[in-house]
Amino acid sequence: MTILAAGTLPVALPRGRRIRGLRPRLSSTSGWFLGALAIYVAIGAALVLVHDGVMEDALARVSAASSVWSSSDPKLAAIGYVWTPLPVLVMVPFTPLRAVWPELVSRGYLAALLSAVAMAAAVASTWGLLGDLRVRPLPRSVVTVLFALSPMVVFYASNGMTEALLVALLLAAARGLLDWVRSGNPIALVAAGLFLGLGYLARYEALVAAAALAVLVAVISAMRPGTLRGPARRRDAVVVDVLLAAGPTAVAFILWALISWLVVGSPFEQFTSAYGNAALLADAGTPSVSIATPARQLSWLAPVLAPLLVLAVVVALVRRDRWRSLALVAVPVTMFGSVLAFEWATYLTGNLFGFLRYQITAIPLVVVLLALVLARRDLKRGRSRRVADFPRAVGGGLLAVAVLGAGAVTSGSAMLDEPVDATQEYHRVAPLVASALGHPAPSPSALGMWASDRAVAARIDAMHLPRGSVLVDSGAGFAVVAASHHPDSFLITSDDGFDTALADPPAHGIRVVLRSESGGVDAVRTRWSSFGTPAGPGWAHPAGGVAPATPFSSAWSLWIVAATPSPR
Amino acid sequence: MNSTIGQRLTDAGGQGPDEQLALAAHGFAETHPELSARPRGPRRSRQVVVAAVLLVAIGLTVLRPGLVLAGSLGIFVLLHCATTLHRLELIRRAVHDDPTLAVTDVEARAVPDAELPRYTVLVPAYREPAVIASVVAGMSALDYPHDRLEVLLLLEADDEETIAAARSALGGDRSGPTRIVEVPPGEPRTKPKACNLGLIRSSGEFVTIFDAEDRPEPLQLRRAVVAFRRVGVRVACLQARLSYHNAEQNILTRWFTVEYDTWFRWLLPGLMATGAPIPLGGTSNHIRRDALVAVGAWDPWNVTEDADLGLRLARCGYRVAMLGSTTEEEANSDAINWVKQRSRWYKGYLQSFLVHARHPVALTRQVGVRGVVGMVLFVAATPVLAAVNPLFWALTGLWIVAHPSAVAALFPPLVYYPGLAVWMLGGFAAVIAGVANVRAAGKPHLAGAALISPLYWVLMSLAAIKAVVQLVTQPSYWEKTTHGLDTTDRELDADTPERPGAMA
Repeated sequence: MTILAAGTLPVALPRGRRIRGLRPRLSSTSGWFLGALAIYVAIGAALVLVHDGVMEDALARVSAASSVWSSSDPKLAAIGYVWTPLPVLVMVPFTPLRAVWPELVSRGYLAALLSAVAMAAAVASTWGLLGDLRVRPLPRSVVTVLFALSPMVVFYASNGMTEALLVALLLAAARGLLDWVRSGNPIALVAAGLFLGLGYLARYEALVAAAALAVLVAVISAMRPGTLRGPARRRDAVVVDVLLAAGPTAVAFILWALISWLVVGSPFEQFTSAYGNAALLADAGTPSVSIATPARQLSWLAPVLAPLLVLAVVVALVRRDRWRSLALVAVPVTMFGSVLAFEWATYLTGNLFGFLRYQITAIPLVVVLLALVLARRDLKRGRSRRVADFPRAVGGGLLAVAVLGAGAVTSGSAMLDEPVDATQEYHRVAPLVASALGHPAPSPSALGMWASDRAVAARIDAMHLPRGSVLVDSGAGFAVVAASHHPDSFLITSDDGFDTALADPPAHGIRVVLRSESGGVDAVRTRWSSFGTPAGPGWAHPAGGVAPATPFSSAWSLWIVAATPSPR
Repeated sequence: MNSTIGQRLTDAGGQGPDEQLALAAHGFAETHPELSARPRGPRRSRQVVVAAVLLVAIGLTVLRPGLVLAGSLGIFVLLHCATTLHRLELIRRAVHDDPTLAVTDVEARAVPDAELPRYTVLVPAYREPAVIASVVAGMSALDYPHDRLEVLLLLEADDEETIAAARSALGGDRSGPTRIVEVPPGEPRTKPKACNLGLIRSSGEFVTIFDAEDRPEPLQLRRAVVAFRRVGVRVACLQARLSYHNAEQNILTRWFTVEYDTWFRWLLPGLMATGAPIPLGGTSNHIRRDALVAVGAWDPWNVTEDADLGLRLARCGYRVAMLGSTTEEEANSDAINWVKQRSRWYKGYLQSFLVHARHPVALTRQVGVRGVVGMVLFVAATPVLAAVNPLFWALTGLWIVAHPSAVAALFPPLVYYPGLAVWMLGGFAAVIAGVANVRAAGKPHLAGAALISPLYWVLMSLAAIKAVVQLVTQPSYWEKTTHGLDTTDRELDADTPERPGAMA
């Protein structure tokens, strides 16, 4: 018996055409993504690297992400539990690049890159969503371009804030839900649910959207003529649909609360922590609350929202499949509208600052409503007749220009002219635009606000202090830690031993104590307000201060801890 | 004997029963020992290699236990991550361009009887006197002209009860298209050996296998014929979907149904769409006789001969496609027997993978890098990850009960946290996929079971550990299985029919 050679097959067909995966081909969606990304990355570089204009929360997140590796007690828990984890977690793998490119962390450019990627994804989602609805090529391009270049979108794509993630994830979820309403495909619902769940991990507001959408999905699912036999099965189907839509958010909510509880002992740090929203509000005093503020802000962001909504409903009513068209309109209204309603309610009850950015979801709401108005009637048929198509395409394009152009003008001028109701935008955008045009910068400007923190970091670095010997509350001093070349010389809030060192610095190897002299939460100032007063400890010797670079910057005082601890 | 295994199988039709039996049992392993799971006997070189590897492993574990712990965890984390991503990609592909061949009722019935080819249905059964009558009924329900159909009941010659029951159902040794084929006792006493004998003694242009309790959809054979004509000769096999008709029986059958629906509706079509080798499911695989014979038919020494055949077909250049037709089976409803059955499947997957991985370079040349990746992540990783799943449970538990610094002392955070994340996200994805699948399959009432399927993974882990331990500690285990035929009766009697590994 001949035993064939090892590995020889009984038979081998001649090599045929192998089935290959999708060939890497630049789709139009990726084209939009990359184009938008290039613009946002460049503008982000101008804002953050050139003009030092990264937003406060953004820099705080980069600093936290960096502390995971570089604090004196490196650990994942340094990401913090007050704010949502996703934006920080996503940046954690990249913060070690500070070794080769310090500005990534010290100026917070990493956050700007993240917001650029997120907003570029939102642009790609918009393009895809318009395509799903078979909007004609001309209005499809016009809507995408005007969305991508609208002032609020550009600013929040380049300043490192999580607004970009919120908009991107909600738009992606809206796309999935619209697909589900049209096709009934459960996978589209899964996608929507996952994006909402991620949305919650990026911004707490997404929880409201998920809850509202759970109700909407239940209604649509119950009204949908299904193929399932028997009311029991149909009821099960409704439950499953709601589960797919809202389940991931519920899981994210529970998991994040659980992790928070296990690590810091409290499931909802956002509400209970000294650094949470409630504490920030209390610290800021009680501002006068007026319904006129959010109303004005909304009118800047979406001046034609009301007529557009009416138009969308009317268009849905005259379509052949009226109920499904109305259900489609209900998707963006529920998703973005619930977030807007939540911001209004919390602001009006004194639980939220009245920032313009909290209403940014009005912009994707307008875009999706516009998409539904511009959607071609028969969603299934192929190319329609060109001749009749052209005027409609032009009309659609003009409508898009009118709706989105109006919003761009009003929101853009608010960012340049409204120092109170658009305060965060005004103090960065107005000076940036003035500088670009060669005009004198309006005063005060928030650009360059981190210079004083960098000066503190430089002074600390020059002292060549050992690991964990500079006591600073990273809630107030994140910019100092981010700017330092030796971040491990600081003992920050998330480090083990911070509390004991705060209570008795000399006994715990602390050589320098950093105290913030501006407002805001600072555990060091709370504990050691007595420094420099007759009642203060004898071991703390003043080592000068650093004046705030702008009215928005922190003032700092440095305190050298005497080598021999003396009783207080 | 210089002829190929294909030639020998073709020629065996005219030979005596003893030669046929010998060929069915040993022909493939003799001609292609490298492709068969038949024990090849101890070889000094292999023993030396195994001893050396063990020595190095033990040495490292003693000298650098932390490194070994972190390193092996890291490998499992990577494997888990890759497998999860691979499955999500399979689902995405299956959903976006489902390659399942759909043949409508009208198309299936439109083929005139005279144009239908001769079709062979093999029904291996062992110690199933209670159901054999329903087999006869089920097979006559097939919508296929009886003069072009041959149904072979493959019964072990010493299984007198089943033979008697079959004779009384048929009113003799044959009735209509159905006849009894007695398989004489002999090593190895397995389902694939019986099927090989059935193949030698049959003549259909297409061959399929059903188990005794299967309820194939009546038009399935006609659909297969139409689909085969549509796709060309490179497609050697059409795998129909399997599902369970007793999903409602208890939580185990619900889990099993959700798992099978995901497997046959998403994962196998996804594999097909990516062009990776497809491990065939136990029954309802429709195969062209010429291709089946050419690749050497089933390996009687492999416990999942169906999965092995799917991989071998791919290596020989054939393709497998999914057929849009469902065969209803009966799900295993008893936990102990489920674990036994599943451990055999896992063992068989590992065995098939090890057989085909004997010559990795040749394998890569034959199925491509993509195919090898698919085999590693689908065939090998399934049992391996099921076996190490308790490790991930333990890591999570550790994180909850222990202080993070205690965890940091045991594992470097760069391995530990990604491991935790991968396991949780992977599990989450699996649960969501299950819930979405029950919705897509029109079985929303099974969503509750899909939600608590992590408990099902516990059973899977038990089965996988059983399989892996046997493979590691008892290298000659396969030989023993085929010896201990009568001692395993009870276990195998209760086995469900869809993939009774070793039939005896």
